[in-house]
Amino acid sequence: MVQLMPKAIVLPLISLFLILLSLGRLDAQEQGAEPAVQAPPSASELAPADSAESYISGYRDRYVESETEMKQLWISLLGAREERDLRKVNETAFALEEIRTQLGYDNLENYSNELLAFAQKELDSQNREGAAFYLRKALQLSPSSPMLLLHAARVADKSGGSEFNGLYLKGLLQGVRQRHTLVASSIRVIYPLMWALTLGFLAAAIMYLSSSMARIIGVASTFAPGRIRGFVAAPAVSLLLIAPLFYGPIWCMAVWSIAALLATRDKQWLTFWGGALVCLWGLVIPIREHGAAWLGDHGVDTLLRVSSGVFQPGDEESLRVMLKQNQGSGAGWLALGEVLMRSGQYEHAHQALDRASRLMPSHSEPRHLLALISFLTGRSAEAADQMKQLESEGLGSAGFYFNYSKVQFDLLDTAASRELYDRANSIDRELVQNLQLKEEKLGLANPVTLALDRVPFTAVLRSALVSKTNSESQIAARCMNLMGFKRPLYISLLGAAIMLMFITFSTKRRLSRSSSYFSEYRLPPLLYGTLRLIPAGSLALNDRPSRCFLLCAVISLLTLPLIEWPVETQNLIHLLRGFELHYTFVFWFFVLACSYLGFNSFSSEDAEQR
Amino acid sequence: MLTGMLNSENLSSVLRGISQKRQNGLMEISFPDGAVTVVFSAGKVVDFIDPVSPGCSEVMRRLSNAGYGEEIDDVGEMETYSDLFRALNNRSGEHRLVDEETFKKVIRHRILDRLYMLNLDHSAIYSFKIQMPEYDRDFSPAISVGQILLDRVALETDGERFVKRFKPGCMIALSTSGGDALSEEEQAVFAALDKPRTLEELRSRLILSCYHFQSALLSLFDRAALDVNFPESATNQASELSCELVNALEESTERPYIASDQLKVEPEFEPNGQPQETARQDDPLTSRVLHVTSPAASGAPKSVGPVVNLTDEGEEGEGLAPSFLTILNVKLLNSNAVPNTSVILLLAAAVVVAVGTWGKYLKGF
Repeated sequence: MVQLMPKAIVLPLISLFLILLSLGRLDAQEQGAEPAVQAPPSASELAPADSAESYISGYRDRYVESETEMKQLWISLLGAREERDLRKVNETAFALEEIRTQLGYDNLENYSNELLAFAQKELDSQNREGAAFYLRKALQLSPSSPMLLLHAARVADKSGGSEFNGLYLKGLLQGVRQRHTLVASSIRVIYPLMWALTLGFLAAAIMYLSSSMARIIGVASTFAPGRIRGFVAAPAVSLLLIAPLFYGPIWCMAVWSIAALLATRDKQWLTFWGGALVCLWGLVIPIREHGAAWLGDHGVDTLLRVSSGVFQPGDEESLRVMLKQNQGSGAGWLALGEVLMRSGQYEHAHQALDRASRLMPSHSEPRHLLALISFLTGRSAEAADQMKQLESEGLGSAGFYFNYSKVQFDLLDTAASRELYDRANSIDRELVQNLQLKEEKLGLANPVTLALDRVPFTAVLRSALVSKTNSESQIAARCMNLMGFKRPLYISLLGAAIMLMFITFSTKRRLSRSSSYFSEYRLPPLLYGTLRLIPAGSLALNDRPSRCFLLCAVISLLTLPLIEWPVETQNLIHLLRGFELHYTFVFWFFVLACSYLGFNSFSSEDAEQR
Repeated sequence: MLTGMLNSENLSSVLRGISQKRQNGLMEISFPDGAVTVVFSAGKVVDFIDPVSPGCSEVMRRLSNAGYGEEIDDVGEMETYSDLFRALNNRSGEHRLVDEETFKKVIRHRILDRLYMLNLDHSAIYSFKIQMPEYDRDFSPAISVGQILLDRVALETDGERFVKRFKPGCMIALSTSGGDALSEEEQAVFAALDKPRTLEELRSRLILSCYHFQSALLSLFDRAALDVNFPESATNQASELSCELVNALEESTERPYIASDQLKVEPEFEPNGQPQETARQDDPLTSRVLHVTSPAASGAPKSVGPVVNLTDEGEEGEGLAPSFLTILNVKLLNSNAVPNTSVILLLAAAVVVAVGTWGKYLKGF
C-alpha cells in the first residue's frame, strides 16, 4: 500500500508541516505560550571581566545618539498617531527607515510590531484603509523579518488586501534563510516529531500484537512447564502487554517491542524501531532541553541572527551579556566585532576581532574584517596587503572580491579594482548590485556598504555546548516523568538493549516448537474487519508492521496541528489563515485514502491465508 | 484438523490414514508432560521435532559418538540440518569430514529411532493439522509409514531373541573376515568391529537406529560371523554394566525426552530378590520415571534390550486415559477463544488506561 501512497503528496505535506510547525511555535511564543527570550540586563549591571573588555563598557556616542534619535522619532510618530495625522506618521516612518539604513539595521522589529498592533486596532474598528496604512509602515521598517511578514499576511488577509499570498511566501522564505529561525525550528520540532513517531509506533504495535496474539501466546507457552502451559500462557501474555500501559507510553513502547519480537515468524524491524525510538528519547531530551535553554539566551539569539547577516538595534548589548558569560566564544567576539564595526566603533571592533582571530585561528573571517577596519580607518595600503594575504590563503567569495575592489579603488588602482569587481559580479551578481546601491547612497567608506562574512555556523554551534544549569534539572524532570529514570543515559541504554536483543534473537527455533499451537487461529471477523478499516491496519494484519508504523507516524504528525498538542504545535493551524479548512479536508482525505487503499490492497487470498 | 487419542492399538490406523491420503501437515502428540511433533510431507515422515532435544543436537551427538570429532558448541542454536552440515565441514582442526550421504543416514536413523521409541502404552492426545510443513528438504528423509510400522513390530518380536544372544556387557568380535554379501547395516557393524568390543561400545559407535542395529547383529550372529562372549565377572558387575547401558542408550536417543545429565541410577529390589535397576528422572518438564530392567538380571526379558516405560509419576496404574486437566491444558492451547480474549483485553486496556492515566506523562509537552 505504501507504494500506492504517492510520495509527491506525502513529502511536500511533511515538509510544509515542519516549516509551519517551527513558525507556529515561534508565533505561539510571541503570543505568550512560552516565556520569551530573557531581556538583557542593563549596562550598569555589566562589569568588564578583564582588560580586553574595557572597550566594551560604556556606550558609544554615536550608538547612543542614533538610539536617542530613533526613540525621539518614534515618540513623534506616536504623537502624530494620537492626533490622527497620518501624513506626519508617514514622514516619521520614512525618517526612521532612513536611520535604519544608515545604521545598517535590517529590521526595526519592535517598532514594526507596534505598528502592526495599530493596524489590528484599526481593523477592529472597521477602518480598513487605516489598517492597510499601518501595515505598510510596519513592513517598511522591517522588510525581512519572517515573523512580522507572517503576521502582516494575516492582517492583510483580514483587511481584505490582496497581498496575503506574497507576504506569506516571503515570510516563509525569510524564515528558511535565517539561521536563528532554522536552528529554533530544528530544536522546537524535536518533541512533536518524537511524539508523532511514538504514537505511530504504539498504534502500529497494538494492531500488530492484536493480529499476532495467537503466535505470541504460542511462543510464550514454550517457556511454561508442559502441564500448565495452556493455563498460564495467555494470562501471562495479557499481563505482560497490559502492565506497561500503567507506566506510560515509553515503557509501553519498550515492552511491546520485545513482544513484537516473539510475534514474528521472521524478524520484523518493528522491534528494532521500537528500541531505536526508546534510545532516541534518551538522546533527544538533553538536546532539546539544552537547545531550548541555549536559544532562551538573548545573546545566542542575537548571535544567530547576526551570523545570518541580520542586524537590529540592541545587538551589541545582547552580545556583551553573552560574552560576559562565555568569553571563549570566538563566534561571539566575531559577531560583536561586526556589530561594532557597523556602528563605526573601529577601535573597539579591532580589539574584538583580534580576540576572535586568536580564538579561531583557522578561520579567515576575523582577519577579513580586520582588513576592512584598516580600510575604513584610512589605511588602505595596509588593507590591500592583508587582503592579498587572505586571497593567497584561498579566500575567494563574492563579498571578499567586492571589498578588495573597493580597497584597490581607494588606492587608485582602477584596473585591479575593475578586475576584482568583475570577479565578484561573476560569483554573486545580486549581492554586488545590492551593495552597489548602498554605496551610491552612503558613500564608499561606509561599513554598511561593505560585504561582511557570515559568522561560521560551526563556531556558533560550539557555544551551544556550554551547559546551562537550569537545563540539567529540566532534563532530569523530563526523564523522571517519562520513564522514572533521572538520567537520559538509562533510557538510551534500555533502547540499545532492545536493539541488541533484536539483532541476536533467533525466532525460528522457538517458533518451531510452538508452530502447532493455535495453528487454526483466525481473528474474529468483526475485529479483522475493523483493523482492516483503520488506516495502516491492513499492513499490520499482513505482517508489514514497519510500514504500518511509518504510515501511522505520518498520520500522527499530521494530526498534531489539529489537536494542538504538544505545545509546539499550538497556533500552527492558525498560521494557515484561510486554509484551515483546506488542511482539515486534505488530512481527512489522506486518512480515508489510506483506509480505502489498505482495505483493498490485499487480496482475499491474503486474508484467507491469515 | 484431526484430533483424538493415540495409543499402541490405533497408531497403525492413524498413521496409515495419513499415508494413504498422502497428506501434508504436523502431527502433534501431546503426552501429559510434553509434546512432540511428527512432520509429514505427502504422507511420508520427514522430520521429528522434540522441543527438549532438537534434531541438530541429536545428530551432532550421534556423529560425535561415531568418531566424527567433538560436538560443536552452538549446535543447539542451529535451526536446520543444513546449518549443521555446513558448520561440520567448515570447522577448524583435525576432524573427519562428514559426507552428505552419511549425514543423511544419521538424520534418517535419528528420526527412525525417535519413532520406534514412541511409548504409547498410555494414551496420548494427537492433533494432525493439515498445512505445508517447513522442513529441511536437502537432508530430511522421506520415510514411509509402512516401514515404520513393520520395523516396530519386528523390533518387538526379535527383541527377545536379541536379548538372549547379546547380553549387556558382552564382548563381540568378528569370527570371520566376511565374504558373504552384506547389507549396508551389516557392513557398518563389520567396519566398527575392527577389534572386540562390548555391546554398549559397539552401539554407541554406530549411527544405526535400534532396529537396524538389532537386525544387523542378529543376522551376523545367525551366519556365525560373530563371537559373543559374556564375561563371568559381568554378572557381579551387572549394576555397573547396566549403568553403562543406560548411558549408552542415553547417548543413542533411546530416551526420548530425558536430559542425560539429570539421570540417576539407583538399585531396587524385586520381591524375588533379583536385582533390578531403575533410572530415575527428575526432569521438571517430564517428571517421569524411566524403568530400565536389566535382562541379564531378570532372566526372562519380554522386550527389546532394556524395557523402557515412560509413566506418569504418581499416576501409575490409574488407567490409560489422561486426566481432565491434561486434556483441558491441551485444549486451551488450541482454542481460538484464548487469543481472542487476550486481544479484547489488550485493546480495552489500551483505551481505558491510556485515556485515564497518560495525562500525567504527557503533561508538560
